[in-house]
Amino acid sequence: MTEICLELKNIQKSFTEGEGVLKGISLTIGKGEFITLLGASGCGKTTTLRIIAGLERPDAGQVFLGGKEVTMLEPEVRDVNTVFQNYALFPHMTVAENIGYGLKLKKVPKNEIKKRVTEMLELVQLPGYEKRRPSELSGGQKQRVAIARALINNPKVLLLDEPLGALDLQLRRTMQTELKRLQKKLGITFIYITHDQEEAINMSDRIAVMNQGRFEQIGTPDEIYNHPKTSYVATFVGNANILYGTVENREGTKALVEFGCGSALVEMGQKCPSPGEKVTLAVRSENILLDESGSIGLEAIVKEKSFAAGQLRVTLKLPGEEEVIASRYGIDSNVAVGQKVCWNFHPEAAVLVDCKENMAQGEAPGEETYA
Amino acid sequence: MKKNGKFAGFYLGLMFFLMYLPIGVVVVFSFNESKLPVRFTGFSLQWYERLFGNSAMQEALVNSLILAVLSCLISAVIGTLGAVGLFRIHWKTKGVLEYISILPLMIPEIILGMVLMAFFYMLGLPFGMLTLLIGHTVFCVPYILMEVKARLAGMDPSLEEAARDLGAGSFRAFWDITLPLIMPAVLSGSLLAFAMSMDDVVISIFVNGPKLSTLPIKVYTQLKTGVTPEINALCTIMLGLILFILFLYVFFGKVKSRLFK
Repeated sequence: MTEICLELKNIQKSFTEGEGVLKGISLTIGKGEFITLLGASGCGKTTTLRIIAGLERPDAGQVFLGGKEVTMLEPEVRDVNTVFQNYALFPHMTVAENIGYGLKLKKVPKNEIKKRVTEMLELVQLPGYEKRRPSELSGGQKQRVAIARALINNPKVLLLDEPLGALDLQLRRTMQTELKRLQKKLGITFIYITHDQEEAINMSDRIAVMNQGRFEQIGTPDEIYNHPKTSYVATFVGNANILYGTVENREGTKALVEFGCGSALVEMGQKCPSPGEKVTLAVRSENILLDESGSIGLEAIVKEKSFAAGQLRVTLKLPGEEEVIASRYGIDSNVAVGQKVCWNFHPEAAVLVDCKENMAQGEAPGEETYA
Repeated sequence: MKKNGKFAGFYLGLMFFLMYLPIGVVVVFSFNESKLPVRFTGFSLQWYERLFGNSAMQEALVNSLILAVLSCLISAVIGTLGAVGLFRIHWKTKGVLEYISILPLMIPEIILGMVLMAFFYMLGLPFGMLTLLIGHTVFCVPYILMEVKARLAGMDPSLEEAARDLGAGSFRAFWDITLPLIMPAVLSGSLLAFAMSMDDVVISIFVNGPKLSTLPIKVYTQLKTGVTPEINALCTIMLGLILFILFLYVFFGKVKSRLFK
């Protein structure tokens, strides 16, 4: 276990009575860690960030920074800096004045400020931009200045609120790599907010998936992607199909699950449920195998075919009105809309989600460990 | 649009002509040699000379300028603080407060003047520069308040938060970030207020003292005793002054929009 940098203990916050934005979240973040809060808009991730920054006060719970409680401290005395979603560069100051503002407040001598601003600009690959105004910069450049302005203060934690949200896809990819490079080089703890699961998986050491003011699951990108604990995580991160079924039979760690349109064998591991139990399974679309001849597996009717991002997506309609999406690379599929097909998946491809144990762990604060 | 082009142009021209004709006449006749405002007999600056020889008139001008500058400065401070305060509070009564704060613009001046007079009388304040100053400040504040409020509403609230985040206390963040950004609005609001204070007659008549006279009051009382081209000259000067202020107002508006585009 590395040194603990930031700790949130049972944070609660609501803006209107009865509607909790944060319903008691806890999180422990290690020094030098890159952690991403991932969630759809309105899940409370920005509020979490603002509470860490001190721009918002929690109704209950505590924030510890480097072992000291900072819950009620003003933002200016916290060793935390933020990169705002819309950059929030001061329009009446030059790039150099923007970046040097934090040091000016600390009464660092002017020469020293100038030297460090130049260094920072080199670090974010904008050398020679000192005299520009924010209005003369492109989105990506503004972003770099915002990052430099925060990092120059050498904070314990850098908070990034969807910093790449306004950039185009290509620039976003470049910036992702660059942010990761900066973080590795400086060894500063990054808390990153995004609703883009690809971005989260790409950059993070750990991901905390948030939903309706709670953490659904906290873990490494591999854990989140390959071993989701809840159906929300499985669908939000892995775009997985959620299947509801009943266990019919059990053989060792494998179970035969009935889905209403046939049954399939599922590898359950140690937590294998007993016959008669209802289970929820997540199977990612690329793991759904289509049998066009319609002979082996579970029954379905092809409802829709679409092609996106190099993948052919086939939407299958199950007898019970549920839908399952199968995807594969390439467009060489002979299935036609309306055709009756069969589908299947490998026993190892299905992940058991939403079981009581998992849920309890997701909600109980302070129990998760971190790498 | 194209179809109505000619008519629209004609209408616009006519309207401007009718609106500005009297002003043009005053300006032209201020340079007239003859005392009678019927025929232009020749160019002369004699009425300007006479005006500058008129010590009562000069005194009134000085009074007006002092009054306008002071009431402008005071209302700039009050108006700016008020706008920032109104912007920050999130009370349920916020809307009502905003209306109350710009009410002096909507109350007829004559009522405001009477009310102020009665109020100062009740307080036992001696009528003079102080009462004039208070009276002018009352109707100047809303101009600045409205300008600053509009500017604040268009400002990104995360700017001040970013300053706090970088280590500025709440006053420092206001001083370093918010104030420079709303400054153009403070200035343009102040210039508008200055113009309003410079030419106010109604409220001034109610609250000025027996000895003190402002320029608009002086002009007004002179009109009763007969119009001389001196008044024309005075009007031309004041017009020039107001136009200059309006020019500054537009200029600061330009600066403002360039800074925040």
